[in-house]
Amino acid sequence: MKISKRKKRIISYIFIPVIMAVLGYGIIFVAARPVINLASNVFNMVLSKTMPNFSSELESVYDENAKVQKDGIIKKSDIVFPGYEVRYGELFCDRLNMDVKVFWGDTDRVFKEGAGQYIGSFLPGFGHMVLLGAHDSLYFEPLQDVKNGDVFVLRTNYGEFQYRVTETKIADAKDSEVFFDNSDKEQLILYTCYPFGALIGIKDQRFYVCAEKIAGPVISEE
Amino acid sequence: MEKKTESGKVRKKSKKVKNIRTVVSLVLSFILALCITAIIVLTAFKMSFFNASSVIGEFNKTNYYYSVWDSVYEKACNTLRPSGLPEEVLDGVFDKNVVYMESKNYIEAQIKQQDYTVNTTVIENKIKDNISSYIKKNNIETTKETDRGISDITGEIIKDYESALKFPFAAQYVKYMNMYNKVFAPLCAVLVILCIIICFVLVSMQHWAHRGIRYISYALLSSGIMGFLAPAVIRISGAYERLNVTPLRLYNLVVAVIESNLNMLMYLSCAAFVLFGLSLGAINTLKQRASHKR
Repeated sequence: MKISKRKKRIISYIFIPVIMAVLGYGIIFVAARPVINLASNVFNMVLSKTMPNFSSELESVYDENAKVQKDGIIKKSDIVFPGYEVRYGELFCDRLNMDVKVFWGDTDRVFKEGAGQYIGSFLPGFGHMVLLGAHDSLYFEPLQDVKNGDVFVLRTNYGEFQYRVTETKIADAKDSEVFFDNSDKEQLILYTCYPFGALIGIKDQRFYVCAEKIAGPVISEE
Repeated sequence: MEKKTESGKVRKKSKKVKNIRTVVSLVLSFILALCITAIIVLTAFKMSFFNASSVIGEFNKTNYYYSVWDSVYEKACNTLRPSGLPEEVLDGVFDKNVVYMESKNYIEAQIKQQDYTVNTTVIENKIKDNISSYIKKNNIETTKETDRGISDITGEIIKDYESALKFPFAAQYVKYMNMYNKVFAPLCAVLVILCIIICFVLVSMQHWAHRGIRYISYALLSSGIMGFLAPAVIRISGAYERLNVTPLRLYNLVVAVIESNLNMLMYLSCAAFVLFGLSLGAINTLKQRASHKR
């Protein structure tokens, strides 16, 4: 069927601009590829999978009522790792009447709600140092009465661990060699500002409690 | 066109010339489309993202200044918490209207590259008075160390207050805005001149003016499609809403500025569509005149 000249003209008004647009995008993509790749990499670093959550409540992977392992071996692949500023456990000490929420990350937001773990340390069960901090005027106030031999229970979303206090120490806040990571056993280090409760503004000293693991499951890397 | 008995060669030659003219016209039309698209993109950025008035307007629309008070108060509480002082010492320290105005004036001055000094004297005196009242009320013994500590806390709170009032990326934004404004005018001028030259060549290449304008209309429609499609896809997908930017007021501002820029790109592309429509009208008019002449 012969297409009329008018129809041909109308078709050309659609096809030619569309082909030009496609070619144009193609040329821009090829010519600006280094810039596009750079911009894309930068954006991927700041883009998350979902819209950011601005809720004032911190998220949690911890279930108080869930049954967790107290001994044995746990596979690393079975653990739900907490994200930043996410609650993953609870720290108890019966003698000190302490019951503190534990979060992954040590920001001001976290310290308002409980104890925060330094993300350069390990989660419980991995055989390395677990470093938790909190404010002396809030959740770690009971630490001023801690004694050697006190037992802390750290219950997480995957296991329950017990630690016995072996040592306490007061050091400068900037002293990075104060950590007791010279033991074969897994250690729980609790730290807070010192002196306790004193109204002296910005405190330059820290109070450290070192406790060694006495019970709890072991995380297998396999 | 010649009609000779040796018409085989002459017709072949004229057909060859016609084909060459068509190809050259299409190529010029494509270059014109790219130039118009570039003008659309440059103008959209000039009118939205790199326009100080437009960006300052977005600060107002997203209630950015009202939200600053929340940050100021939260930072002050975070500073107080380790000291053992209660939040009540901040009562009456940060007035919402004052924080709004200081933040607005400071940010506008930053973007307009003007000097501005935040007034912290009233806040500093109020904090010190509140802390002194708290100490007296609770019979807390004060020492030199306590006084030094109170002074440290007050200083820290004032520092956080000034930092919360600022727009964090103002310096970088102003730097890139100035760079863009320097290159915008000469670049646009070159593109406009190029467009004019191409249009002139397209029209004068053809025997009939309306045929030249047809190639210009292809370029207008194509540039409208190029300028409209990408922003529309980004706008619909909402990928920029997943930007991990905190706090909330900054996130709202960034999203609003990006949306404003995408909208401007689409509006200017629509202007290209309108010009395409007008060019069709011009083609029709010229064609009718041409057929009357014949």
